[in-house]
Amino acid sequence: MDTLTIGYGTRDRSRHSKPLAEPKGRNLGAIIDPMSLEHLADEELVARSRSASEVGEREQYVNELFRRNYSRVARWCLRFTADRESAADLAQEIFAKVYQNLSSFQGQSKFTTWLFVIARNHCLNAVRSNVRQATELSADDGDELLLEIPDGAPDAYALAERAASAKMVRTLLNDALDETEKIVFSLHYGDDVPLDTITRLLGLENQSGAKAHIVSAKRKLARLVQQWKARGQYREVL
Amino acid sequence: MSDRDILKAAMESTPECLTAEQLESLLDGKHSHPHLAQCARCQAELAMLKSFEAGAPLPDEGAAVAWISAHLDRELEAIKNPARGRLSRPASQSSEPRESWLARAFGLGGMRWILPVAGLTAVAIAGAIMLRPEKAPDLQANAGGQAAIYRSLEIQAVSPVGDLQQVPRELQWHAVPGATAYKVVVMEIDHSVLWTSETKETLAGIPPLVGSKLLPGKPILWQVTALDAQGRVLGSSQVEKFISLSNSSQ
Repeated sequence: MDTLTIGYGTRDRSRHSKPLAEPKGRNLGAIIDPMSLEHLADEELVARSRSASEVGEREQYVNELFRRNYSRVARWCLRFTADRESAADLAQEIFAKVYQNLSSFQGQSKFTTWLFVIARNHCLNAVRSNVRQATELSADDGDELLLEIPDGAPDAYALAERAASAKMVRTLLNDALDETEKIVFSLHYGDDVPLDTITRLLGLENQSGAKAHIVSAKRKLARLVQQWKARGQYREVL
Repeated sequence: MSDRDILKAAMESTPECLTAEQLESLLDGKHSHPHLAQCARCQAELAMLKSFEAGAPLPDEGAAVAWISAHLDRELEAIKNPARGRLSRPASQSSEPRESWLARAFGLGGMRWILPVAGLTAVAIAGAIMLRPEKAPDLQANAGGQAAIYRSLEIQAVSPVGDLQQVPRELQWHAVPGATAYKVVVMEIDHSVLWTSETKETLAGIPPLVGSKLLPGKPILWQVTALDAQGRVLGSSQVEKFISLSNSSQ
């Protein structure tokens, strides 16, 4: 079975590697006292499921591991979909993926972090493939976010090309936005997460949720771009 | 290049971006990483990880989370063995364009036989009803000498229920005929699971660790499900609620 990469890239993470501890007391019978499972950490349940000699015993560890994480994954999926049937679907697919790849969990992180990576990737992929989201994204695409270069400006085209530099945009974001605005920006424009989903994911309680942060961020960015232009700072940053 | 493309490029992961393991070490807020302060992407990743790790559902999520958790529990075998079990998928999420049943019946070449067969079946059933004997056949207890089949039962919970002077030490219920095991689940008021256990008895002791979570004034839910020897559900209790008024044990 292929190893499921935990993380977001392909870098060597061996420096973080911490081998999964061998479970203590491996000679368990096929019938396990459910109460004894209660006190085991997630990571130990994984380790014991691997070393279990009988299928029934292994499945008991996995069942316990899954059951204690149902709510976590259910909540996560619900925040992505906002309807329980779709969320249940996503959650089921996530647990199926986890089950198939459980052998690749190496204990380099907590089990829930590993689970998060799977759930995150699965839900983001689902969001991206959702046709409705494409509609939503294109609907709010009319506004100019960064440049607001006046028509007829002699160097407008060159300026826009320079602004494409990711480094410059990152500097802009850091200079202009507060932490929540940066997070909302990153999720919406970097990961294509719809605004209502971001509102639920981050538990934003203001009336307009993530949308208010996007609007505020755009204003700040536009203002900063104008200041930069006035001072000729584009060139310095680039 | 549109603004969206520019932003997308700016938000892509860089070689400096933190791994999941590194983000995990920042969850407690006690540690920091120089890269985090200047990377919107890593800040977003950390915010998502926090959201995932956070235990409490939002106020309107509790019921749906409980429903999904129950659904996952029901489908657990199918999740683990998709080839044997069917991964149930609500029709609302089907990626296939949906057709009406009529369109499906007429539109699919291989399924054209459905309608005539359904018609013949309906005629046969109608005929059988009209020609049935006036007198109903005698009831036979345990016909065929096979094992008794139990219908879905409601288990009567005994305790704890309602307001309690002390934290309960055990859960108790009435026995169900044919049950070989009972599965107990103790939940918070939002149905997030605190503890589950399986026992052959009609009571289950609450471990001290769980008991310590049953704080005074905090409503706690519990439910018991009876299982037969094959692990099939025979019945469940209502979701019972209790509140301990003090933190000493009963």
